[in-house]
Amino acid sequence: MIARLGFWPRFRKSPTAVFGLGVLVAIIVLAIVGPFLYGMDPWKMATTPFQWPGDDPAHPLGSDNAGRDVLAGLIHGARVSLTIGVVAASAAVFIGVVVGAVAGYFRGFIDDALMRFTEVFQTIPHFLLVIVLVALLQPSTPIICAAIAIVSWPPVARLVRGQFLTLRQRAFVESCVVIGMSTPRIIFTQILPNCIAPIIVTGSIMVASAILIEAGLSFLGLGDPNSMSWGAMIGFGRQSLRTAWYLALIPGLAIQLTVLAISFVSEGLNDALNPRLG
Amino acid sequence: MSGALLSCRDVAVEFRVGGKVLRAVDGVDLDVEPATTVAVVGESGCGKSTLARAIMGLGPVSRGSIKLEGKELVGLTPRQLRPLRPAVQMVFQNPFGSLNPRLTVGRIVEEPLFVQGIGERASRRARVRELLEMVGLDAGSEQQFPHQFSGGQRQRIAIARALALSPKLIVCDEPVSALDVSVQAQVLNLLVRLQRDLGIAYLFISHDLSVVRHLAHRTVVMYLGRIVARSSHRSFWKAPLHPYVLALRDATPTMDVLDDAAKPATLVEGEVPSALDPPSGCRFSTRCPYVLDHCRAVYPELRAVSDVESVACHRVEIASDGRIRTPWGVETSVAERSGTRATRLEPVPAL
Amino acid sequence: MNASASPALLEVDHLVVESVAGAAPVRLVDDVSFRLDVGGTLAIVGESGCGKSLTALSLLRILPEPGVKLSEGSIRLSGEDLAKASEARMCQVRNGAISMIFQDPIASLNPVQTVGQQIVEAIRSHRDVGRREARQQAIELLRSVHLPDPETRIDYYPHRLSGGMCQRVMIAMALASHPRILIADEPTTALDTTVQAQVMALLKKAQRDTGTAVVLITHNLAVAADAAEDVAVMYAGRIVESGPVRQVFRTPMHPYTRGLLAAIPTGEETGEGGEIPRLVEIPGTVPRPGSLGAGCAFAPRCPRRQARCTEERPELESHGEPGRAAACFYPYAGTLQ
Repeated sequence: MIARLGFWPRFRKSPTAVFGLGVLVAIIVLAIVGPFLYGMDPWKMATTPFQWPGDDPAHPLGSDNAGRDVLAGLIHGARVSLTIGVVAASAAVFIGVVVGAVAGYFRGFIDDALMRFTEVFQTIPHFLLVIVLVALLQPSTPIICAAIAIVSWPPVARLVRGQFLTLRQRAFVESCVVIGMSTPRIIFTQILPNCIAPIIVTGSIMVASAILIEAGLSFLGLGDPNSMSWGAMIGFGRQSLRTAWYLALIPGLAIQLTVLAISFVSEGLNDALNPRLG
Repeated sequence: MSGALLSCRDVAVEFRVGGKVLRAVDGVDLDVEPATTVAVVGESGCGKSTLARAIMGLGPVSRGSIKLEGKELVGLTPRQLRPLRPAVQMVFQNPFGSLNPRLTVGRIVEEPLFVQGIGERASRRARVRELLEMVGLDAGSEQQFPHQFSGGQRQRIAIARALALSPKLIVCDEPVSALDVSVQAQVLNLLVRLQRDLGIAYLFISHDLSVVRHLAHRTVVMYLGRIVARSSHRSFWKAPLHPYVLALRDATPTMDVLDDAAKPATLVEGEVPSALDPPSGCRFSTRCPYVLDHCRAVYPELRAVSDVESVACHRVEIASDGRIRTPWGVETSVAERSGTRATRLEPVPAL
Repeated sequence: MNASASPALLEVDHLVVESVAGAAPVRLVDDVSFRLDVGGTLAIVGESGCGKSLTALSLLRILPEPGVKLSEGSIRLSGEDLAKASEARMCQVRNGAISMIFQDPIASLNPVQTVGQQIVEAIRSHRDVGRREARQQAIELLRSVHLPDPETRIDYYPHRLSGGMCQRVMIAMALASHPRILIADEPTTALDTTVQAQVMALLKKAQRDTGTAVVLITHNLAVAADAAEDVAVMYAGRIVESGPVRQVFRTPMHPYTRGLLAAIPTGEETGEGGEIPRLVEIPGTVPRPGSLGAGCAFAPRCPRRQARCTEERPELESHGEPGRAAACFYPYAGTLQ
């Protein structure tokens, strides 16, 4: 008999997962509370440009090429990145689950058709497709989220399809057919809850990749012009990389730390949701 | 048979594999009377599980009729099938895969009632408690999860769930094969008791002869998709009238081997041929020690030896005076193999 | 067991296998001792979790480490203690002096190598023969285990063979090195009835031809009755009864053995218009490893339990029956009712 600990004790066992969670929570708190505590407007030209961090105590992280406060940008960037990351990843997971579930449950022709459709999206280079989509429509936050979701859903679909193909044949699912359970009910109450774990893990990794894609877009100047995102900040610092490299480094570190933290949490989730014996 | 609870006629299940046709079930006639146990016995590839699944609507039916209390099941849509579901339920082989690991035992047993819209919350919970008690699990089990129970206990949970809709027939697909001997005894006793108390019929799929001999009123033996022998006579295994039945019996070790009894002369050679390419004529002809050319040329249809026994074999001679002789040394008569007094077990009287 | 004066081929004494994964070590095989004579057949029977498979694996020292280890006891093969042997020595012993076949024959074979490649590997690991010669020997071996058409089948991949054929291949591989002991762990459980009988007959014949001793692990008492000379019944990691199979199964001394035998359905009708007889149940369930108390492991479920049974652990004793032993303070004697 497996000695089942609760989810939290198992999660706590991994030091990296706990560290990652801590960092993530800190970033989230920063994003939510930051603008109130540190009320500077990231777009306002607050001081002289290219001030190094530490020069002016009023602007602890210095200013960028237009004199905007870097710390303010960092705080607002946290909000932008996390929002886009979570929304885009959620949309991708949603699409992927729907496609994968239908393909895996009904099999046959529907499965073939859906998988060909999935392959189309998988074979187009992701980043290029995002750029094309964003360039065609105007670059606003919802469009960016949608574009990222559109390129990210195929792996989720494949994963869910695999899970459905397997679980569908399990005796406990058949025992639901035998009592007259309707197909939608079987999908939602029997199969889905049993494959939630890998979906959650994949979803969390998607948040990280969504953040990276958004950062890349903003760096290229294709991001939402009204959001101060970390990627945009790196973009502003692009011209002055040799002299004012802190402008690129600081938001770059922020992105790296966030992605790393999500990675750790993801791994911790994986281990906690799929306990192995011994 | 008009009184039959379940009546299958010429049921066939065929699959397309590559360019060929796999006839997993190839023309089966089967009846199950109320409150009796019909055992279906056979080795891999015989189609017994496919037949069980076809009856339950879990697998396709290519042709034939399956009637439950006179109502035709073949060709019904899932929606049409739904109100008929309560009458026939199923217990599966694997106690570790047949219960949803994420639901509590209480929910698992309640689910059939919920899905069929029976009662409301309070009455359903009461019924769940009643069912758990019926199968010998204590009241605290409701809140627990399947992984907290042993294999035998999980089968009890599965049986409780199967009983929830008060079925008249339960199809049991190797329900005790994965259990230890002592646990098997508990579950078998439970099944027998439930039949006696509730008048449930069983279609019992098994490969284990000792279990089948213990509780079947009627036994059906399948080989490569067809029935080769059917009987409710007490001497079915003792004095077999089909060489495959003889082979199965001799291949199954029993404790009698300790008594210095004469060992069986020949064990059947070879393995079950592929169902994609069944032998011409009698399907057992490739392995039968008593095969003749006629056997390979002409398929032996099932013929009645008596009112309670049928076999599909050319080598069983039934003389006009009722004497039955076989090349493997069984000599009996139609009279001896007939009638209810000589049958294995008395069916439970109908409720 | 044969209480012969001659030294046994295999003597296992006070074997202990523990699981060390958790907080405290848990005994999975708890002080097990038995002997096997040259050319003899010993069946170790019991239900799931009783430790019979682990006992077999420990003879070859192929326990699932690091979680499980052999912590005490000796395993003497013609005097040499394998429990203390080096890993290099054990590599020689495995599929050399001692071979093993497992329950799921298709899973036991390497799916990406042909049958021939695997047998040749087995042959060449113990004998110095060239490839061509080894292939010929392999074909002969396959013929000797009644694999139909061995010249063709030798080049098949395992998935093309049926379960019964794969088990024959396994037996061929196991016998390639002329082992002195063959361990068979539930060799027929995954096979069809008629194929089971063939494989068991093959094992018996191979044993007669080569004089190999056999340790048969099974949960099916009838298979043990048919194939073995001696039997050891295990419960909760301990041997509770042992002796010649005929005597143990006809007149069991230990209440657990008795309970097991009574639980087997025989299909004998009870006279006219028979009601289905009730099988004798052993109440309760098998205790979890590590949850055993001080006394006899079977005491909580035993119909003959007395105070002493829960306080003291009974040792295997012959109780006046030569060649037999039962670990019980109040054993049965006489015929099975």
